[in-house]
Amino acid sequence: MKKSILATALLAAFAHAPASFATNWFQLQNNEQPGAAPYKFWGFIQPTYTHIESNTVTGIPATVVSPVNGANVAVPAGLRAYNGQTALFNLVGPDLEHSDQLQMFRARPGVRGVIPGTDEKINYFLLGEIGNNGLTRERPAVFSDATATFNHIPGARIRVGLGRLPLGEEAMQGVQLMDYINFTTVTEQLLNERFVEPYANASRTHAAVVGAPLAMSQLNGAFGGYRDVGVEVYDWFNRGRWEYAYAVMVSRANGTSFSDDLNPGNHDVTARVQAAYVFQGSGPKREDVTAYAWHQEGKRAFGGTDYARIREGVGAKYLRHGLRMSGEYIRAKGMIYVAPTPQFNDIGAPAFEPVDYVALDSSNKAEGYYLDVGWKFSPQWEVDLRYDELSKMTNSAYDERKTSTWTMGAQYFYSPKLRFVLNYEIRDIEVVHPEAQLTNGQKIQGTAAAAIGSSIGNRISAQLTWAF
Amino acid sequence: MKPTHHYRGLAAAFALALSFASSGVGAVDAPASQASQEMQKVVFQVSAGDPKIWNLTLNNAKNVQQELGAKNVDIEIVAYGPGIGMLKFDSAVANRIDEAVAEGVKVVACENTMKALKLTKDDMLSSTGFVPAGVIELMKKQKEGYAYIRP
Repeated sequence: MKKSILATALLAAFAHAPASFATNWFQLQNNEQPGAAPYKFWGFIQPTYTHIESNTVTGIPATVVSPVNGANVAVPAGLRAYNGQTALFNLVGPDLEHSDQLQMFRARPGVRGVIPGTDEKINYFLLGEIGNNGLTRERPAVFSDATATFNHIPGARIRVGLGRLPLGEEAMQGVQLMDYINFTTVTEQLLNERFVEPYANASRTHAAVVGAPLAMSQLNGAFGGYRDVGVEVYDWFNRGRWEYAYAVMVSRANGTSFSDDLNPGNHDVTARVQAAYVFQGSGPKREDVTAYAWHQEGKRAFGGTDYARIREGVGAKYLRHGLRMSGEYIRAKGMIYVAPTPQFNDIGAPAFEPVDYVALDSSNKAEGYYLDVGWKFSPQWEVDLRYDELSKMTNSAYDERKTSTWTMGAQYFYSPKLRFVLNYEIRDIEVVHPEAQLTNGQKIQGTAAAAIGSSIGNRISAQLTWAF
Repeated sequence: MKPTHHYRGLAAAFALALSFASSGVGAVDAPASQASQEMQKVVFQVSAGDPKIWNLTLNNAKNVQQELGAKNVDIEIVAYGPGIGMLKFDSAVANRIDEAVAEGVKVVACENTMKALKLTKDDMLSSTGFVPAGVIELMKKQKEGYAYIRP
């Protein structure tokens, strides 16, 4: 049960999360400083407390007005039974059992360094994950990164192994440096891939889907975690204060899994280019203005058929004198993870667990963006504000749902190794086109979806990051 | 290398002389309270390219200010040779330099080194000052009574 609904993990179906920005992540994550040691143990932990307003569903009516003939049409008792229930997006992931939870969200020990005797031309990077999140949904300890980088060819460094994909800014940023506790909904749901497999249980009483063709599925394996196993060619070039960087990665499209079981026979190609004007500094908090664009394309195996999966985005970031502004637009085609249905843990008689609905074909689309501003007004304090939005199934008016989140945050930097973050998120889910409910079935399900969506609660999170 | 060693020895001699001089003044000519208000002066040499040394220098400067009071001490950091990287625009300690300057620390780059490395003032941090020669600056400051520290 837990496994199959974990899909909603951090920010379930139509729930949410956050963002940050750009610097030269290729250099920071794939290379070592000159003179680096053969090995350096490091890592971080992020104990996190989350409280979500435990709103329950209200307002699923006994009848709706038929869009066909204006008559009152009865809403099935199975749908009305959701009144009084707590939706999955009001439970804390990945366990989805409570609306309040303190957990070791991330715990990542690692080692990195240069290979002796290679004139510092080969370096490596290993990082494990033993926290409680989407990467560890099947095993308590996994590798999040395991790469070797070869720096022999001018202009074309080569990284092999399990590592980050050259995707959007949030996806590339080290999570120990994120200015918010959660990712934005658009990044988390479009880029943090859920691998799925066909799943249907005849003993269950799922209602027929009345909108666009959606496939019933269940999660398979760990979340992608913005990573994959493959070969990345990349480099960066400095011209005075200008810096240009590129990366192209060919990968196996199985996320953090070293096997080919999740998506057999397919691969992804992901590329990113960026240009930055550096005001001053280096490292993750370098003061610069950066613009970037990226594109990912591949196929996913599902039920014996391969479906195209495309993701792409553009964005920019500015950081100077403690003021940060960033934004990114992301869109997706194919393999859109729509939502667990129903949005509840086992209820009803007989009880049934949700299945994960996926829009397979590349005609299915989603898009979203975020805008973020932060101000570090003293060496110890920073305040942050972000708005993010995600619209799924924009190709089908009836199915389209929009989530939006305002996130207010504060950070206290106790020391370079210890940081506290407090976030408050105002969350909303909207059925975008009620006028597109043209049949009785659509009216009933659309009305219930709106009532369920309106039960989404605001979320408060507190997190400590300790790097060692 | 020889001139550098020479200057280092000279600097050490100045520092030694100054330490005796200030001890003498404090002990003989001034009451303790007055001595504590006397303006202290210290110059730091940064000629290493290691960011750990840069951070150590900035830590030292901050500690001196905290111990004596920022208004009671003149601090100057002189970067030259491989240490010039500390004051380049892409320095790993750029923000810390800004914070130090904001707290009243004077930070200067050696123009001789910049010329040798073909660096212009645009290549340097905006909060940086400049002196014609880092080593000469160290000598001048010691003559003016600055304590000399090389982290």
